[in-house]
Amino acid sequence: MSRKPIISSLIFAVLMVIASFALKRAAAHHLVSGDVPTRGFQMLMGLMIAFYGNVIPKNLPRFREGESGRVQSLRRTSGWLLTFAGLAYAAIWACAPLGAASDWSVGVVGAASLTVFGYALRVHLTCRRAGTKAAS
Amino acid sequence: MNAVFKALADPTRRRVLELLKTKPMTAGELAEHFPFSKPTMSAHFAVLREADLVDVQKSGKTVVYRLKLSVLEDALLGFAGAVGVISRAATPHKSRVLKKGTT
Repeated sequence: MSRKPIISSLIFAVLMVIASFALKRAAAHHLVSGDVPTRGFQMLMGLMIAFYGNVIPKNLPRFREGESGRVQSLRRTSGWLLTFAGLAYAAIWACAPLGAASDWSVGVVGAASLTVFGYALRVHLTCRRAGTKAAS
Repeated sequence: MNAVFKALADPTRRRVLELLKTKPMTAGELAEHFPFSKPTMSAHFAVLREADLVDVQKSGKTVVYRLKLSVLEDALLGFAGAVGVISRAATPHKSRVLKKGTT
């Protein structure tokens, strides 16, 4: 098993803890205004979603005989959708009014996740009907 | 990242990646689309493999290539393709001008 995903996840975890701590300290010392820690942390979350979306098409599962283009298309579409959703999440938290940012950002990521789930289900059913093992 | 730019700089390698977007293909299936010899194609495949843009799997006697592009690399491929099309469109014009100048 590759250690790369574990290391990148640990780096992100440490980065988030440090960012959270630093933003809180900065707010306590009146270096930043009240909503900056919340916005900063949420932007980091958005960038994390974009990062993981970016690498989805790169993490290939074990090759199976007769693998179809549908599974590959699913990986690529999921990657693009989640990358854009993550960037939109970060942009919303950077620019939108604080009251609306939570609903809008969750809405964008939720819509992207649902689309990916629906597409995955469709690919799975199509592959099952076609009798391939690709989607299993 | 240098290896990625090197791999995407060549139109043949970009075409290979575009073909792999449809489905995983064997080396033979990919080579059918190009008028090059097998060693030339192998060299192109090696550059793509080195840049980690394709995944190579042995299936019996055949070698199957799968696309292994991150979203960023996919976007770079699209950008390089667009720039390539523009420069290709400009190049014949330049050569025509040069030929006219020499004759």
